[in-house]
Amino acid sequence: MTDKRQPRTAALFALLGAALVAVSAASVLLGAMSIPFSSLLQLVGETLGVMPEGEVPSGHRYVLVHLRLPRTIFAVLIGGALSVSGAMMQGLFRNPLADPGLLGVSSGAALGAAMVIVLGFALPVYPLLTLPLAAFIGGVLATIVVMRLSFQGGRSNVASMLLAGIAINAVCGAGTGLLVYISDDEQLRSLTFWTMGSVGGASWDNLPYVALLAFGPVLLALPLAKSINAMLLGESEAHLLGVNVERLKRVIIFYVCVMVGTSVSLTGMIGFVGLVVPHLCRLLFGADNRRVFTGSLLLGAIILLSADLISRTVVAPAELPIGIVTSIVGGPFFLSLLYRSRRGGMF
Amino acid sequence: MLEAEQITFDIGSKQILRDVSIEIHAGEMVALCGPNGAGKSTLLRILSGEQKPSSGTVRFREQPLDAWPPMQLARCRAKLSQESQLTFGFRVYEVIEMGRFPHDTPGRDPEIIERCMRTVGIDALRDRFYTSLSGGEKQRVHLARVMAQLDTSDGGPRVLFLDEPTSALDLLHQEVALEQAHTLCRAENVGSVVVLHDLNLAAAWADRILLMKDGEIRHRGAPAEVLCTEVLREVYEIEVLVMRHPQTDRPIVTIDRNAR
Repeated sequence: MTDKRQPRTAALFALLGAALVAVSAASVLLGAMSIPFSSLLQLVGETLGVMPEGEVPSGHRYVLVHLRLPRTIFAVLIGGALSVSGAMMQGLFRNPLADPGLLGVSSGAALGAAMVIVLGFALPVYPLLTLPLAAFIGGVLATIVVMRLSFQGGRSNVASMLLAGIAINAVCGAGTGLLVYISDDEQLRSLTFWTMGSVGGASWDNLPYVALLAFGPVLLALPLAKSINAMLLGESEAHLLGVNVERLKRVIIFYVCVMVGTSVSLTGMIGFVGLVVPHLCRLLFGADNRRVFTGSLLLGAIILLSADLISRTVVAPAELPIGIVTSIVGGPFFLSLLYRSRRGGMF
Repeated sequence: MLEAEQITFDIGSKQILRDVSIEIHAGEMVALCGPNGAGKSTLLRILSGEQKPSSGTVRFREQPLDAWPPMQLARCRAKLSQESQLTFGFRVYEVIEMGRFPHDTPGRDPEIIERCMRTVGIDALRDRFYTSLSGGEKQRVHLARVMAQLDTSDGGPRVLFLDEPTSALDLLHQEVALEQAHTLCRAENVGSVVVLHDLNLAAAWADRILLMKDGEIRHRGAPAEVLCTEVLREVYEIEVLVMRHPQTDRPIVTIDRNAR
């Protein structure tokens, strides 16, 4: 980091942090039922034990504690995980257009989900877990196939990984297509909604998994940013700088697979975030992954939270699928950014 | 300091290197020359540990290369490759900072980076985007990066590999690049191996020249011994005239136009 821009970078991070707090508050307070700030304050005060028991309408209390709060935390964790996994993939492939989908995670997960929705599998014990579990397994299996195809003699080839990913995406897409073909109207509707994503499934029950599996790797990935910078010089350059390239590649793939597999299995497909948030961060902070990773973590959380807030307020009390919001708002916004920053060397 | 013994390298049934043995001493600059496809870059990749040889061993400071912990090796061995794949918009300063990756010296880094930028004359490019630079400027950025990588406080034996470091440089910067590499060798006791196509640059700066052809080192010795008409006819299959530099008395090689 150069000394001249350091204050600006620090200010930007502070700004993102403040925005995250503000959007989180908005996400907790706004929705089909608006909750006054005083109720939130009272509740927080009570929980911390600094305020005496006061009156919070029980409706407010229920919505805050059981719906809004877990959903907000959920969106923060998933948004951070999707964005950082995108940044990691772009480093792995040395290509700013890479996204986690290239490993086959998302399409494998979609196939798993489609099998559950259309063929009606259900686990005997926790039937509600069937869908996320099948999606997670589908995503992991697809990634394993991609990995197998791209490793020869203990070394991986990023170019064949890319091709294998494309092939696996096509095969999984065909499988999902077949299932769509034989599905009835109701199944088709659930499947379509699944592919557009939602963070509505958030609950205190699944938050620990999200924190551990989707968000845990984010924190483990932050210290890798410097090695991934070196990887951007090329694999042999990174090797010459002392990076254990093969290990790093495996670690990246493993983390991304677990992060995205967990996210997708609980939210369905939320496109756009993993690709675009790291881009935005490069516009804000430059290409250094140490800043891109931290920035993606914050900005990804902000963007997914905002998208969720929009998705559940514009057509309240109904909800728009979040994938539609991320694309409808983010797409044109990103295009305008690209248009305005066409000076050389940003990507 | 660096010894390669009986290195061979095959791809399939094609022999790229056959039975190559060389030794590089601390403080000397060795030029690796020869026609296209002679195996120069492959040899450099093997000497730097990027590529394992099919047979033979490379020892650095008495220890086989693959017995070195990668990070430790990276602190005393650096290589400037022919091309870089960097397509992301890092600032010049940040690219050079990557050279400090194997060192854990955040306090000293800024000073080292600034010094390396001044050394190769790119301090004015400090905050430019790497991707907006010309080919020659990029090459100088990477030269500064490998110099930053070799900067150690202990001053122990180190080795620098340069694969055609002057290919994209203008007359002045060819001179500056080799002069700085030469200074590094002499002042800091760094051994270096430089692949050069320009025999005159090799003649001007190298202590020894190794002439390669068909995967073998055909001739080795001081510039004045190696750069003569007969040897170059054999290696390059072209008639040349060899003259003397009026100031340094080192050889100057040019094409014999009458023989063409």
